Amino acid sequence: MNCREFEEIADSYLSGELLVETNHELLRHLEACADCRTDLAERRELRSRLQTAVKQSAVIDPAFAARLRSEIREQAGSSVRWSFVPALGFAGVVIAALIGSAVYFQSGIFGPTQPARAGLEEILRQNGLMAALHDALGNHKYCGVKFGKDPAVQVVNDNEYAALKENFSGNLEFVEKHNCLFNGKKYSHTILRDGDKLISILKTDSALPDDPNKIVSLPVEQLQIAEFESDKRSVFVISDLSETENLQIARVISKNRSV
Amino acid sequence: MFGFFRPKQDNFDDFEQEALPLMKDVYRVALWLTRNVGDAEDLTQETFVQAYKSFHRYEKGTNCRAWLMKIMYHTNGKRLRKLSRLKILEDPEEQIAATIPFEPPIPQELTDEDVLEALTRIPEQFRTVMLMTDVEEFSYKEVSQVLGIPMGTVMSRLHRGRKLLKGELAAYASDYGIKSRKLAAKN
Ligand SMILES: [Zn+2]
Ligand SMILES: [Zn+2]
Repeated sequence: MNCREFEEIADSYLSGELLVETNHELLRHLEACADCRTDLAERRELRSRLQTAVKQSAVIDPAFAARLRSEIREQAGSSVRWSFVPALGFAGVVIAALIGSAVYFQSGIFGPTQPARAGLEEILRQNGLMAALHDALGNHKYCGVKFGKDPAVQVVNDNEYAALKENFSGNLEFVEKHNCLFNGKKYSHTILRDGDKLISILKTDSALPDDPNKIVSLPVEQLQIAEFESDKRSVFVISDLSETENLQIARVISKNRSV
Repeated sequence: MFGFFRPKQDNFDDFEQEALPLMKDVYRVALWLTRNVGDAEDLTQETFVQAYKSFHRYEKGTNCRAWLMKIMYHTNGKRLRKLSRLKILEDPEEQIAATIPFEPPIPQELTDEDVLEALTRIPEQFRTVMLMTDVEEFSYKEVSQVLGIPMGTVMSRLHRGRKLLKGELAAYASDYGIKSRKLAAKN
């Protein structure tokens, strides 16, 4: 393959539309050609910038989503169920998916006691939290993943990071730390990496009561979310690690909080 | 019998599980098609009401998002025909492609707002294909089915759309360049 041929199929490669053999040929060309590597990196960057910008810009009004859902339900003439869902709009959809899969951990001196299946009422009381989970998940996916792809690695001096290096069994690398705005909410966002796994630690203001020992852990869309409330902030750990590992990170942070 | 446990007489539960979670995606594309919140909400509403009516025709296990988008496109087409007597312009794809001279790199200082602003300047047919492939991550085949255009056209529109966007952003970049040079001169 030459540069011209690469140019012709670069778009299809980016969209994952090439046959396996063509993919291989393209990758062989990339190995040998720095110009095309740069070209591809720029195409990727443009695509991900576009994705992030559009996804953050066009957010449906939850009130509208709730109205529309009720309208269709009326059309269906079905009985009223789970009336908390429309009140939350599309976040409610996530909640519905989460019910039954949320597990609460109480961490003590000897680590977590037996996980207890949370009751429905417990989850309902966490309504505010569920909407927040949804936002945090979005932040990890659109912001965390964006920075996580960046190969630049720098190390900072940070209590939590130091504690993690010491107490977490994986091999954590620091990727990025910044403040970011997602869905109108401000987060402090630390991004770490363990091999090819990406971890977001997100902190945002919260009105929920403090309870740093109570860590909520649940799987959503192939990712793990762990959350606890501490010092008037919700702290989220979101990653594609295993649930145990993700929870381990949350536990170390909850014990070594740097406000 | 207890009222709570009476058998369901509708497929709302399935619709709620499969289709309703996709409302935010449908809305996102609707907003780019209509460019205003009120119309986007109307279009989303019409789409979902229509989708629920024809939900029995949806094949479980197929791509529900693509199915909904198709209904939305159809609904939007009807809406546009009703609303306006706009003539269909000549396909400007060739001319536009010819006017893009170079592909400068994407500057880092561009904000999301810059990207969105640039996107609004891309002619609609290219923009729509880019939104479908790059943002919504539909396959070429799905886009071709949703928009009712051949796969080759999906590919060429995507190619030109991406080029145009890059060109637009390069124009912003040179603006930034001028600004930062001015600042540097002051200091
Ligand atoms: Zn090359
Ligand atoms: Zn961030």
